[in-house]
Amino acid sequence: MTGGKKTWWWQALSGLVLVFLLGLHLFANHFMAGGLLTYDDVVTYLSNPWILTLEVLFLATVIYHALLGVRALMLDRGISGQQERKLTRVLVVVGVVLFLYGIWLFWVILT
Amino acid sequence: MAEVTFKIYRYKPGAIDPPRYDTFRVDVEAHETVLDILERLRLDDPTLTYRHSCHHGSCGTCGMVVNGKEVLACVTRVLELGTDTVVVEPLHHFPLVSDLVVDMTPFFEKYEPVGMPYIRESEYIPEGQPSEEVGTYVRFESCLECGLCLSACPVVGTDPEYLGPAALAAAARVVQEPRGQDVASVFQMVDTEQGCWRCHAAMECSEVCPNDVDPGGMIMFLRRELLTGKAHSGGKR
Amino acid sequence: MNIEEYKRPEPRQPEARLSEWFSPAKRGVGGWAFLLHRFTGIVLVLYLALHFYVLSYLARGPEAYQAALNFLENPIFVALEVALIAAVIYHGLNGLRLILMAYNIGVKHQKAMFWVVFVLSALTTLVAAVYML
Repeated sequence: MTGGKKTWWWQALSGLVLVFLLGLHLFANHFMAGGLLTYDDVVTYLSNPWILTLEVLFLATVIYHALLGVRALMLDRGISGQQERKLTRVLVVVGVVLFLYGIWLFWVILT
Repeated sequence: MAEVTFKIYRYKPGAIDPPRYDTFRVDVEAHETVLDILERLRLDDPTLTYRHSCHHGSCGTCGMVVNGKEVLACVTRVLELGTDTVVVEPLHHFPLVSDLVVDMTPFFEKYEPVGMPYIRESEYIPEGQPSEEVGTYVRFESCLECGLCLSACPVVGTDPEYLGPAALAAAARVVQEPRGQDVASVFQMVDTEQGCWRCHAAMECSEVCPNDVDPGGMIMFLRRELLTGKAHSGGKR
Repeated sequence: MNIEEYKRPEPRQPEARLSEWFSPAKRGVGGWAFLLHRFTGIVLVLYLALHFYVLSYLARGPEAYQAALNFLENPIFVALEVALIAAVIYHGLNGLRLILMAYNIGVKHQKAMFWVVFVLSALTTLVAAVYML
C-alpha cells in the first residue's frame, strides 16, 4: 500500500477497533468494576488477566489512533515531505513513550 | 425593482492596501445578476476589476464569493439572494490580483497534469440513435474550471500542497472514461497523502459546484477504487 | 511612465488560517460534520493527555489516588464528563460514516447520515447524562 492509503486505512481500522475497545473499557470500568472508585478496586480490576489484556490493547490502539489524528492535523497545515518525516519520527517516539508509561503504570499497580 | 446595497471588496497591491469595502446603492431589476450590477458599477468606476466572459454560466470565469458563498456571478440573480445588502468578495485561497480578480495559476498547476480529456460520452440523450460516423454522442466535460470548489474547501485553505477537489474530480473522470489516458499514472498521482487521502469529506466543494461535477463524491469514488484494489486492474470502464 | 517600465504588482498570497476549520460561517451539513469531527478529535486528544496525568496518581499510592478522585467529584467535572461522552460518541459514529463514505457507500445521502449520527449521539449522551447525574 502507498503512503496516503496506508495511513488512512490504519486510521480507519484503529478507529473501528476503538469503537469496540473503548466500549469494553467503559463497560468494564463503570459497570463491572463499579467505577474504580478506590485504589483496591483498581488492583482487583487489573488482576483479572482478561481485563489486563483489554486495557493493554486499548492503551496501544488509543495512542496510535490519537497520534495518527495529530499527524493528519499537521498534514492539513501543509507541511513539506522532509518536515513530514521528522514529524512522523517525533510522533513515533511520543507514542512509544506513552505506551511504556502505561505499561509501567500497570506494573506499579500490580506489584 | 428594488434598491439593494452592494458592499464590494476592493484591493489593489500598493494602491488599495489594506483592502476595504466600497458601498454602492443600486436599483436592481428582477432579471439582473450580480455580474450585471458589477458591469453597471464599472461604468462609474472604471478601476473596479472582475473577471468574466460568457455571461451564461459556461466559461467559469466569474467565480466569486457573494454573501459568503461561492457562486458564478453571471447566473446569480441579485433579488433571488433575498438580502438588502449583497456582499461581493473574491474567491478564497487564491492569490489576489486586484479587487475581485484572483490568479488562477494554482488551480491549473494541479488540474492540468491530470490530463482529463475535455469530451465525454453524453448521458443526456439515451434514446438518440447516432449515425455510424458519429459512433456515440459526446459532450464537453462538466467542470468549468471556475475554482469555486477550491475556494470552498477547508483543507485547501490551510494546505497549499493538497491536490484539491477539482484535480481529484478530473482524475476520477479519467478513471471512469479514460479515452486513451493512462489510468495507472493518474491513480499514482492521487494515491498520496496530499492526494485523495487528504480530503475530510466536508463536501463543501459539491455544495458550491455550479455544474454538478460533485468533486466530493468523485473523491470518495477514487477512494473506493483504491481501497477495493480496482486501481491495480487498471480501473474499470 | 513608459509602458516598458511598468511592472505588474505582485498578487497578494493567500494566508493559511486554521480558524477556517472551525468557522461556523456558510457551512453545509458536511462542513458541520467535519467541524465537529475535528473539534471532538482535538478534545479527545487533550482528554487522553489529562487521563494519563490523572492516572499517574495511581503510582503515588492509595491516598494520592483517593485525593485525586475526591477532587474530580466536583459537579463541574461531572458536567465535563457528559460533554466528553458526547464527543466520544459523535467522533466514533461520524468515523463510521466517514468509513462508509470512503467505500463510496451512501455518499449521496451523507447529509441524512450526518443527522442520524447527530441524533444518535444526542440520545446516547442524554441517557449517559441521566445515568451519571
